Amino acid sequence: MSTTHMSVPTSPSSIRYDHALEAEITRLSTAITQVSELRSMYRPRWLAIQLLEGDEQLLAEVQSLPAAEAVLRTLDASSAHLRELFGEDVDVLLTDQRYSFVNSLARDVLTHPAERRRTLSEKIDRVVTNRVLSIPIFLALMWIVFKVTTDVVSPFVDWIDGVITGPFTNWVVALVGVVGLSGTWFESLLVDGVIAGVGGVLVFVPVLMSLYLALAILEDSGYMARAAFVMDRLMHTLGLHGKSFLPMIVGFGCTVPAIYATRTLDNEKDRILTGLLVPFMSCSARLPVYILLAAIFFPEHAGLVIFGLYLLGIVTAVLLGFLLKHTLFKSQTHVPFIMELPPYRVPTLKAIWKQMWERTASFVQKAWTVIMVASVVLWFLMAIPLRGSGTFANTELDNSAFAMVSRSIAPVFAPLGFGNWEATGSLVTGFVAKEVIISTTAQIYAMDAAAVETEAATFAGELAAIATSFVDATVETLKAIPLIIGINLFPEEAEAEPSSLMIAMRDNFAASSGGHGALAALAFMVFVLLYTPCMVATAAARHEFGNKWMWVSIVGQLVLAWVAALVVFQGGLLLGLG
Amino acid sequence: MTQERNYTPNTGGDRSIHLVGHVGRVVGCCRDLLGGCVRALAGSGGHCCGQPEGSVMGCTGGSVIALAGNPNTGKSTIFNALTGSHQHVGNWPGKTVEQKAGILKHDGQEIVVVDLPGTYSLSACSLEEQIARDFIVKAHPRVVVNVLDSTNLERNLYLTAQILEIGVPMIIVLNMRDLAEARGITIDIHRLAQQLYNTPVISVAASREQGLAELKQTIATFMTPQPQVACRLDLVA
Repeated sequence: MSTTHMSVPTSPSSIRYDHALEAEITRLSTAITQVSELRSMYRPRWLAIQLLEGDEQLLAEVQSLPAAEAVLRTLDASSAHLRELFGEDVDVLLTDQRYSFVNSLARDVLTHPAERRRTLSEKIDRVVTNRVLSIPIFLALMWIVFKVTTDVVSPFVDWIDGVITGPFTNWVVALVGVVGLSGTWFESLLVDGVIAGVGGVLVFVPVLMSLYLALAILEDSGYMARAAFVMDRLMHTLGLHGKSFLPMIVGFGCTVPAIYATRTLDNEKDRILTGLLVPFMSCSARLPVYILLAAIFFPEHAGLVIFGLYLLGIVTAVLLGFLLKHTLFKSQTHVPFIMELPPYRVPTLKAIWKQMWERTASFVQKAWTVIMVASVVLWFLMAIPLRGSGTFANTELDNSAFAMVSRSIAPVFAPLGFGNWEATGSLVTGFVAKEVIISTTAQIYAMDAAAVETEAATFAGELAAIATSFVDATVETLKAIPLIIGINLFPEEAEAEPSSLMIAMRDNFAASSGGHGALAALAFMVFVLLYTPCMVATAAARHEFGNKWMWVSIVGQLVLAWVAALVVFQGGLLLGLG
Repeated sequence: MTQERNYTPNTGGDRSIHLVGHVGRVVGCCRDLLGGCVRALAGSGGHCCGQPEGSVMGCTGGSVIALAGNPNTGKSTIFNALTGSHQHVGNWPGKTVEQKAGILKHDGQEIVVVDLPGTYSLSACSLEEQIARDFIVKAHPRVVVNVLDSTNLERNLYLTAQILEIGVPMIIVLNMRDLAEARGITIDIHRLAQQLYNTPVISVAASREQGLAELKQTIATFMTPQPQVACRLDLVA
């Protein structure tokens, strides 16, 4: 009785190879059966085939067993014998015969239609992956995505903003009044800390939903795989591997899964290199920062500026990759890029909705946890007076602990045009997560302004107002859709009034840059684009590539971000821009 | 003679040896075995199973099955359908870079389903192939559910041939039967089963939830009570 695998059927369920091969396989598997350690672990026939194929991993295992010496001797004899017989490598021979088994099997069971029509996927691919058209199509699709995430959803952003700063804040203030804590530091913590911080980020939920919607459609339809294929040519001319592009596309959503996605690369060096470049793909958490600043400083060209930032991220990654590939990451082996293009499929509504919803939900979850904690800590730092005559929760923001700390770092950013403590402070907290930049900014200016407009309004009246403004936002969004392709069917009536936050930020950047606010804001956005994405991403990098590469990544990103922002600001000044 | 071959042990060797040790030590329990496998195969950190560690939910006596197949054949869709989990499914090869484990409940039985990374072969050339092969060979799943794309049968069958050689029990799932039908491709299921030494062959359309009940039934037939493989191994070793 066989003592090997009880669960394995005893029938010879395997491919039959050529006689000479079979003879050697049998010889070797007989030798393997004599070794109990091997017999208990593997099917001897399978192990014999793998060893003849030259599997290094299994060979090493066999070599580590003293009892398996006879197996190794048989293996060498068999290999030599087969090489003599067939004159080519045994592994090629085995693979070849396996293919012919598969081929005859397929012919046996398959019936194809008499005339093979060209599938729709192939027809689409003739256009989409066309040598000339592919890159313009790729860029056009990306452009549509950015237009949707910026212009089209902005009415909803305004709506949520209105609801949070208006009715919702009023309700919280009223509730606090009921409990009898009106006017205390507790009220300030809730309104200026929690609501301003978390609310400032929740405002961007529609933006992220639209981005995730676009990504879901592009992925599920099968286009993303084409995008990787299209970009592969470019990647290859730059000496990067085509597979690197997949994690990079994922990086537009979030850097963390993108870093894990580098595992699809076969070569260790390629993996680390790609892991170093992935953070330059502008993740979705950075988008709100661009949107806010672009709306303040470049209201006419917000979409173009944001698109430009994304492109800059890609270009930086490509150039840096090229540089590193030819210096630190020189490798001799060239693994060809083979990727199957999945057929185009009409994405199901359910799948797209699920994906959009899950990703947005995980973002909101983060907003509630990380950002809530950060907002509260920040509020306390801003409430503690370090100088002046203020008391706790009743101090000039300028004299708070937070301002003092940020001010000590701010000179580092002075040459970049945003050496004010407000911007510096938001960048410091932005190291935790990019979403926090917005919430910090919202908190800083909320504390500063501290003017809560209290309008006497009824609860029912406010509920009705929320509903009607939602309808208005929907109408505005529908109107904005033709704008994607540059058609304005609905001429603007009047520019929306900039909020107090926007005015404050505009003044602030103007002051710190000697009147070149727009240029400083651009430098700020470039810095946000290029510096360390977030704590979680650094943890992921450490996990995948180790401590050393994590530090290389952090330091490299900070230096690069600083230099690039410097070039933007000082270069812009020299050219007389801004 | 080793010098002649001039081989260099690759990093994978480490991983597998670690695993062998693990299997040898475990007696009478499979919770640790599976946890150990998933962790060991994933690499050094023990971070991999797609779930937090320890949540590889208490498996019952070696009832582990594995899903294997080429990239983008719908393994993850089938995994979700079997385990009721919500792994992201994308029209994108290489989505599953690591195994994910979930529980299939059938007739009061709990079966651990492991979704292996999609590979075209099991030659252990890339990390994914190595993960998939090591799991099939060393974790001794009760059955390997090999998912094939019906519209690309011939190319998919190469992996099938390799799994067949390993000698592990197998179920062939011909997925995307709806697409194959639409293109006028017909597959003689009985002939295929016969040619593959009476391996069960099931044709499904996972995205339309067709044929999944039959698949569950077939999986259950491989779950008939039998001494635990992992524990048996220990006795033999």
